Amino acid sequence: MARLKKSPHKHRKRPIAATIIILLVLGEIALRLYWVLHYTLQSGIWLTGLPGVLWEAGKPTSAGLDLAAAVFRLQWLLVAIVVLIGLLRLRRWSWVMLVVWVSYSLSVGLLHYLYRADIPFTIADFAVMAADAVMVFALNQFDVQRIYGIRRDDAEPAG
Amino acid sequence: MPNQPGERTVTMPASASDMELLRRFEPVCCYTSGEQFFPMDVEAYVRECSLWEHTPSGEESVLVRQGELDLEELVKPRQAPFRTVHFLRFIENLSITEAAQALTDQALLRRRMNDYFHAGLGRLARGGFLPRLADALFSLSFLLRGKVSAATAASAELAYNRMLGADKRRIHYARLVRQNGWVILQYWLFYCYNSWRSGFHGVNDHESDWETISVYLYEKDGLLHPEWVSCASHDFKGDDLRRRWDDTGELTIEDGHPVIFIGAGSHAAYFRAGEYQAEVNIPLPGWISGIVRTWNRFWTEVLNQPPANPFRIPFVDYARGDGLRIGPQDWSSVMIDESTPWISQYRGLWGLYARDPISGENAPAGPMYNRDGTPRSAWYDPLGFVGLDKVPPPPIALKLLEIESSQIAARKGELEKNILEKNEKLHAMGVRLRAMEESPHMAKQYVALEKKINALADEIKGLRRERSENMAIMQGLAFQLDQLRSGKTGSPRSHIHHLAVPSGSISARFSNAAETWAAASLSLMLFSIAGLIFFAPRYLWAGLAVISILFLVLESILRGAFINTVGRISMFLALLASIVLFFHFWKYIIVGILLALGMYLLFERLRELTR
Repeated sequence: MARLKKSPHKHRKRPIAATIIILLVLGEIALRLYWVLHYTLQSGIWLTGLPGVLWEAGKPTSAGLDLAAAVFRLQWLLVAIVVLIGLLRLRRWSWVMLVVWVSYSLSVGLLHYLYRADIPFTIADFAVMAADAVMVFALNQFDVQRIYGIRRDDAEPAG
Repeated sequence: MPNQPGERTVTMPASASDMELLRRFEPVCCYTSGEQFFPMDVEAYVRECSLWEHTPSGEESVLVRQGELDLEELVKPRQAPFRTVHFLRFIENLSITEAAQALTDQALLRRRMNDYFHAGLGRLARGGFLPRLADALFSLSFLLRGKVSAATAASAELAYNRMLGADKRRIHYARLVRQNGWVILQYWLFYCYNSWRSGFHGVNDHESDWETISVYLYEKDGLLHPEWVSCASHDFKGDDLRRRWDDTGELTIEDGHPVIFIGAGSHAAYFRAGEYQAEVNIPLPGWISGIVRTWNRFWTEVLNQPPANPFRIPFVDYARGDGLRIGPQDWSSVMIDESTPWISQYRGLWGLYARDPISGENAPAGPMYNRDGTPRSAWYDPLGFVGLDKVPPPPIALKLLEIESSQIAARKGELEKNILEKNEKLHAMGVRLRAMEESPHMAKQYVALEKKINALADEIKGLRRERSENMAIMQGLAFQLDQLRSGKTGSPRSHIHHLAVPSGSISARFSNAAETWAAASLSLMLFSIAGLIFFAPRYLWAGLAVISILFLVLESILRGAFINTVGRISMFLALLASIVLFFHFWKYIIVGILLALGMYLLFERLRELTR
């Protein structure tokens, strides 16, 4: 019987920081999934179709804004699922995608915190910010970067 | 191309005259296409200059006018208060019309000579966005610092070509020194102008330039053998300035003449052709340097990020060697030493004193002196200048090694005898100590003897350490002796700490786009900021942050450094977010840390108990 070729990635042991990242991504997926489901259930979009007028007098209505937010979150949910698959398979591109994602998320969060006093910064926003910060610190760990092929130097700390 | 060891063997009889030796080993200098100034006669230059005095109060007055100055007049003793600067002035002050005329004539001259310089992928595209910002500040600093103008550079080029019409000789000023068993041949090259900044995008321009190349010989069996070649270049000092004669990879020898590649405009010398990235540190006040150092330590050691220093500006020194070559058949040699009046008696600057506080634009002094009139180490200590003061010539090295080996061998025997004797004594004392145990009335003597035993044991330990160290040294000496006796000289580069390596092809992903972006990005950023202030002043700080991030990301894509840059930006944002989170939840964060520490300790202790 022909032997199946083993992927070289399977030999690499996942560092604890990488596990923390995966758990946090899972958490973010759960949170975004909750937001999307909450919106669809609350708006009854499956039963009654689009919730009223979405665009009026040259700007989005409140229903339109809610729908846009839901679509935006759904899009991030899909990205997060793709990233999660890449992280589990120890792919380099998933590290890059995640770091871009958290940078964007942190930028948006910080701008919201500093400039949008009219929209309250909720505890959920703080939680997302904290998760993003932890993810950045974990993503920049030497062993995490090495296992995802970001740092190519294999210098080990002296024993 | 570097040649093979066999082709490099060249000797001269020890009885050869100084001039014969100096001519036999004079360098081949290879310049970059587009170079405007070459080694020339100082006498012709001085005749074109006026002599000036800059007093400590800032006043400047002419001492000898142009046309009246020669080498004899230059060295006349002149009394002056402390901190007075005497300097030559090659190009007199130019009116606007004269400056415009000089620039036009320079352009015509270049066209006639058809010898242009092409920078290729310029230095701006080699550095990142932050070094480029620092570079812009450096350029702006010329508004405050003294500067030699572009018209002065143009006039200098025209005047040099005029002088060249009258005297086409390429002159090196040669000097022979005998020191510590070495015969040192120094070649001093005088250029009437350094056009690194105006001609080749470098750090500075100044009137006059003195550079030196040296060859170090040793005597064996009545013959002089070349062993080292040294030359001065940016960012390097001591041992790093010299290459061994048999280093085929680093030093090219043509018919017994070392080949040296001269930096375009800067006239710094290199052993290999290529483009060298020189870096200039921006001088920062002490407290800012302290903050930057602390931040860098935190950034690299705590946050595990690659080091970055935006306060270092990259400059390229082009030593391509694709231009004029000046070799043995081209040189005119003039011998100099301390008895040459213009060498020892004129301590002033050999060109314009531009009042630049960091000296980059001020002219240098002569071969024997620094700008402040103190003696120049390359002149009075040519061995120490290149770290050769600790290196004996090979024949002496063999004798020294033999003497050192026999001394260490003798010391080894002495140490072994000593250790044996002292060990016997220690055993005897140990036996006596043992006899005192369990005898309460001997307590006082016991303590005293124990003290003596400890001291003796320490002494024996010291002797054993020395024996062990000496054995390691002996092994090294024996290896060196074997090598020297069998004619092997070891690695020719073991003395080099930092090797000057020309940069390879620049790996910008889209080189033309990167070049254009490098030239335009800073201005585009300023336009964006101006637009932000005008159209959305409310979002100034956020806008600045967003603009900076966008520019950095675009830059990183062009430079092929996207991952590094995004990693750094994310780390910076995470730090800001951490500050925000700590500001709101410091009580919970501290409690959380304490609880986690407590749990961890509890877990560790319980595990210890249950083992």
